[in-house]
Amino acid sequence: MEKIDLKIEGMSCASCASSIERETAKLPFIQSSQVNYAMETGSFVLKEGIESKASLLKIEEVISELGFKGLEKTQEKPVDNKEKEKDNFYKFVISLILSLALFSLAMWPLMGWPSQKVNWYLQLLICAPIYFWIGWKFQASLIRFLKTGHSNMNTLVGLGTTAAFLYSTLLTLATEKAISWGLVPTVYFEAVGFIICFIYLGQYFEDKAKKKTKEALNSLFKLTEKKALLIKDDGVVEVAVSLLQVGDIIRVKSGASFPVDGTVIKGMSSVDESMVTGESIPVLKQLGDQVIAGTINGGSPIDFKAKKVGSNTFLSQIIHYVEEAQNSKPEIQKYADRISAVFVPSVIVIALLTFLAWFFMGPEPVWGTSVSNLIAVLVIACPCALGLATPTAVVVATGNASLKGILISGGEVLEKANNIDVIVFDKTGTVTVGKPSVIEEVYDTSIIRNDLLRAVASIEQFSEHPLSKAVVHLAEKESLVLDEPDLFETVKGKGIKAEFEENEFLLGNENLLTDNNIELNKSLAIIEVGSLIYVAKEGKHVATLVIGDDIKEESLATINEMRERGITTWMITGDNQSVADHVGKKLGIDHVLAHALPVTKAEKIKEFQSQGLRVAMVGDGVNDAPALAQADLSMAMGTGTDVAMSTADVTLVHGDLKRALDFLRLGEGTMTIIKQNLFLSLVYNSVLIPIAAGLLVPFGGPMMPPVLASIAMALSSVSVVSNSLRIKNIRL
Amino acid sequence: MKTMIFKVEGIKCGGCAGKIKGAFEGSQEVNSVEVSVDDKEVTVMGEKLSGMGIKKSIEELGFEVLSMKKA
Repeated sequence: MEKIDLKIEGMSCASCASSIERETAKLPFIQSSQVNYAMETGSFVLKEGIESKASLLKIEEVISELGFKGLEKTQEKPVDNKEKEKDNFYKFVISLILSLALFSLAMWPLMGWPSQKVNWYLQLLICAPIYFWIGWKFQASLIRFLKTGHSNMNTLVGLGTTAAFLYSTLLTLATEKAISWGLVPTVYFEAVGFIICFIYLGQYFEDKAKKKTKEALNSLFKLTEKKALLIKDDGVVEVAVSLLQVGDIIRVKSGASFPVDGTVIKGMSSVDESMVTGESIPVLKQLGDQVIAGTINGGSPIDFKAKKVGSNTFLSQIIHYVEEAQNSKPEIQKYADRISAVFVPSVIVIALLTFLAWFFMGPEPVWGTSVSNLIAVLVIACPCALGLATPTAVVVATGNASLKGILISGGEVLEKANNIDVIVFDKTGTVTVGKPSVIEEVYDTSIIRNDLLRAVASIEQFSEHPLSKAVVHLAEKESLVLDEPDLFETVKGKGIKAEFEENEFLLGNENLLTDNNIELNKSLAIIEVGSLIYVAKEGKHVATLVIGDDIKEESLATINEMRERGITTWMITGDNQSVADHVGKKLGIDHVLAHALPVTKAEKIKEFQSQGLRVAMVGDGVNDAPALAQADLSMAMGTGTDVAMSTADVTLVHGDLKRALDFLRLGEGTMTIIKQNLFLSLVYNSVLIPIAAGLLVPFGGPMMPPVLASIAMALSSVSVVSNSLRIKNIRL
Repeated sequence: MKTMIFKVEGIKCGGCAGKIKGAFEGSQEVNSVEVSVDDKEVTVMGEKLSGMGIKKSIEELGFEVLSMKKA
């Protein structure tokens, strides 16, 4: 089965993506098609035995019929988001200047200057570039709608501006004739200008908030080594990782990462496997142990035999999963587009009804009056504030959030924060601090705590072991003055033997004490779960220290409040069951899953989603990336890895878990405002539709005065903007 | 005068020994260094010795310090 991957240009919303999916899926040779709006890509799986060359052309044809451009990935042009942002801003400024000129000619101070006829010609000249150049994408969207029936917000704008522009142009070029047909002598050029101008302002805001999702994959690729040291019979040579084969013997120096998966055949070293488990404490690797591509050798050189290479390695699978998850994630349709999808057909129906009513019941000349009223309905129904409703709310919310250390990757993320059913937390670095520290100390009654801690820390500072650093850190925090031991000896795999100020010490695991015939002191009972350091002084077990990953201060309150909001809480971690259970119990988390591999985390989220639940994920590690990519809403700790941050929708800069809750509150508040905005942007226009339709005329009222369209536009825009500013009042 | 003895893993030959000795040449605090390849021991003498400092210097050369003893 062959697959064609294309770069697709010109999509402006999620419904564009789904229309491409729908239409290409109708082709007889297509097995399935998947289009990603955010990544601007589509992948099309062909049915068995179909040759890709011929079908490629056909797919490209279908895509271009829909108004987009499909490019083979090799022809891909890098489009700079910054450039697009600038482009939209320039278009906004130009259309604003031209619109102000139109306003002065149409309303004030140059109304009717120098003569009605010349005045209209001037307006036509100024309006033409706005309509044909700056506003072309709206017209294109209208053409697409007429061809395919797919509509969005752009279609509505295209419909209104086209109706207004064509009608006004006709009046200008053939004034006498038009009036003789009975058309109302009103031009709407300035309405065309202002509508397009406002929509561009909204798009500029939106671009500012949009981030490229591709970064996630780039940061994952950075973890892969490009070169490897291959051991041959005649020495060591550097080769490209892509050339490695199963069975090759490879050397990994200290500080380098493993290029492929395999088994250790020589050497012993501590390896940072946080990419797999999320745990920051290195794991000891020796003869026969598995090593995984992307994990980092923190100790001495290791030789290993390649077992899995290329796309079969663990890291490749993570990358593959993230890519697939991002590609297959249904982009949520923006609320404004959903509203437009209903509004567009309704407006068209009302406009047609207006036309028919005037045509059959109106006064002579029927053609003139019915066309005039049809146009008036279409023009008044085009709500320019609709284009501002979402972006202004998003801009205020994004600003508000970033002040509090919450970085949002795009406006739609705020919409995604609503109606979350399940929230999944990673453990290490997310609900816990992520660094080993002394979490419990128990001392024999004969001991003065500070004296013993000073002795233990003085000895431990000579050790490279990560657990030792936690003890030294505690002593330094309490300003104990450390000294050097008189004797220091590492007992491999067990601990340390030392002499400090005339006393003999043993620091290490249980085996170290039993090997030296020291009985464990039963009165030193511990409650916490973690790695234990037993301390023996002069042949007697006098203290036990528990080193673990402390729970963050804010975790308990945050998780409680999540549960109070009716969100089911899960903790899914790569750590072992006993630690996971212990942390889970302390925090009152509803469900705990331990020993989870990166893909397992994501699969679990997929399982929730298949039950129709909306899932949020909070994590910090490379191992969380697939789950973050899979979740409906993803948040990464700013204290974690680049991979997590670039995969997630939201970054909590200071790693403060409480902000996750704040973000949900902000999302809900913003959504309420967006809905109000949409109402505000439509209500003035909707109220005026009956007047535009000429409903007042039978009762002796006026036909639609053109100034009403401008008033509606101004009122709705001011209402929308000031309503958006209320987001500042959401307390974070 | 203080003396410290370090057991060091990875000392295989005179070359390794020379490397360790060289690391302390010109050091203010270290007066003399002796390296025994057979015992894998480094003996350091000086007025003001820092066990941590010497351990770090040896480890930076790629050896592993297994023990330290003040004599």
